[in-house]
Amino acid sequence: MFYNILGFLVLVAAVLGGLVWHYRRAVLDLGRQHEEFRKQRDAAVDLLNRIGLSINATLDLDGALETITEYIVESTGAESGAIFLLDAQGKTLRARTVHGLFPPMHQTTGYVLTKQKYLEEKIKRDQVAVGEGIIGFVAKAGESLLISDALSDPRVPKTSLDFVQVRSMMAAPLRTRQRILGVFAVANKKGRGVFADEDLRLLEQLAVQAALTADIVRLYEHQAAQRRIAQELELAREFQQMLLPSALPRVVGLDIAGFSKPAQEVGGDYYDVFWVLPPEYLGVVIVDVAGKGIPGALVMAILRSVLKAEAPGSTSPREVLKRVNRRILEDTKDNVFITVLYVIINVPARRMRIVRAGHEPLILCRASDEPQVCMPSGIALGMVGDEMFDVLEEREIDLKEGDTAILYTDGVIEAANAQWEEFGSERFLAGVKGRVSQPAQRQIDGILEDIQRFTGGIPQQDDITLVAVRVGDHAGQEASSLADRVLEPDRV
Amino acid sequence: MTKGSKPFEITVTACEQAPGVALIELSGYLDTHTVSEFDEEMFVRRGPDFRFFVTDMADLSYISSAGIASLMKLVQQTRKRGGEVILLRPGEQVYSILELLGFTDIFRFTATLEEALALLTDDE
Repeated sequence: MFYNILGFLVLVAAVLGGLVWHYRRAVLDLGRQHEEFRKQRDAAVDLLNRIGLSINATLDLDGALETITEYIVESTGAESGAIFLLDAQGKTLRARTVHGLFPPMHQTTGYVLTKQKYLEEKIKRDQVAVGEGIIGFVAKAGESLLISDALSDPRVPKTSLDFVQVRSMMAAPLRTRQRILGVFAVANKKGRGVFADEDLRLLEQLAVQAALTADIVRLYEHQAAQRRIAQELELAREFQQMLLPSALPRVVGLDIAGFSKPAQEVGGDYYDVFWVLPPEYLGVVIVDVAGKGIPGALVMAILRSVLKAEAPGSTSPREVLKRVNRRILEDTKDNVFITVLYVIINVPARRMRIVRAGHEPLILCRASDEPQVCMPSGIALGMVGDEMFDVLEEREIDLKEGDTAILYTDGVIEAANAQWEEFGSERFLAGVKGRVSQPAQRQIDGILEDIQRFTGGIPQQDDITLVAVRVGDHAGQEASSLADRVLEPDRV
Repeated sequence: MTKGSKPFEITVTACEQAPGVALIELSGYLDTHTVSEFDEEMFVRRGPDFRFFVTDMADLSYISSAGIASLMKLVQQTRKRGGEVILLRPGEQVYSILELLGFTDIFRFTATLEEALALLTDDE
């Protein structure tokens, strides 16, 4: 009995031993794989710690990416490496960080780059299209690639510079949530060795962490930019509001009303009504600065001061705008332009001189006729010098009792509804014609109601400004205060 | 936050018939929402590589003052560098906006690519 049990045990041991012997290679492999996983896991944890430290310490996001690049290059025993990130359209990759002398990914020309800094700059500018070359391939296919013998591989760009020649390289996609962000590539194993499969697997693991970080970097930068923009725009809007007139002059024989409502996000409209040469000559001006945010607001402020300096005493709007243009040209940057419609009314004579520097035309609503669209030639301010600006045409128009001159900005025409249709000139003119006998303020309110009804309450995309000047004896009592009229912009 | 913006696309390609000239193709709506894409492409990415531009506006549905400001910046910067920008076949609406602003006196327009290239080679 005892010998039976012993025999049985020996048999089991023998079977087991035989199994182990038979599967010895697999067992050893398992051991090695386990060892590999352990190493990868340790490396990943180590990297995460390093990144965590890097981000917390300095909030330097590019620094975090550089830390990763450096770390992965070291861990894989490479001489150099780079992170390529996809641009917003997802069509091209650009090197975001580079560590070591990472070789150019395009065939280099005869132009010799001998300093690391210049090489780095060239790499950073290097663009690779998705699908192009090794980096492009990895980005497109979403698969990692190992090239052990680069010199005989036609996909690898060749260069005459020995120290940046690729001998061996690997690249892994940076992927999160099923989206490919870019590619991590390392080149030339140290000690003139070549990369092997296990190196590639380590790279793939680390690429996962790198992808997460790249994603966070992207997100943070995007949000920071958005926040900055939003803050700037808010400041600009408040500032521009301050520049609008708080009260319009009471003029016997004229009924004047104005309205301006800024949109959330755009450059400024401005208008003003002021005596040029009291008690005869009254100036009415409407302005649209093309340019958003703080620069737009500053330009507006400059324009306003220049106008206030140049306008008084001069009864020719053409001469005034020519001088204003000269000053604006000097004081502002290249891509700033301002459209202006400037009207000087000789009140007792009921005559109006108008100039239009690139602005929407003046609408003259006759009591007994179709509205007239007055569009004399002119170029926007701040763009061209005296010679070209000279095309500015000054037109003189006689006004009759009951006529209304309407000045407006393109926000009125371009107000859009949910179907992306514009309010448009036709609707505008029709609305204006229908209200020609009403007081100026009512005319403006009416147009605003028309727009509101048309857009169905969609928040406006552009500033809306309207000024109405009606000729008539009942006028003067109703000069409106702007402060009552400016509504709070829609909060979305 | 605001309603979605209408799409805009810009592509810049080296003109095969004329080395050193870039063909810019604009399509969609160039307004406040999309002008940053134009700026990125023309002032950061591809634009700096060229000095002569032909801007094909055939597929541009609309341009706002923000878009025009950027276009203007491109033209002025390019001219400062001794280059030029030609605007190719703008549509009716876009042209009328440019006309309103008086820019039809400042920009140069042609109806075909050949005419645009001829203008540019004349300049040189």
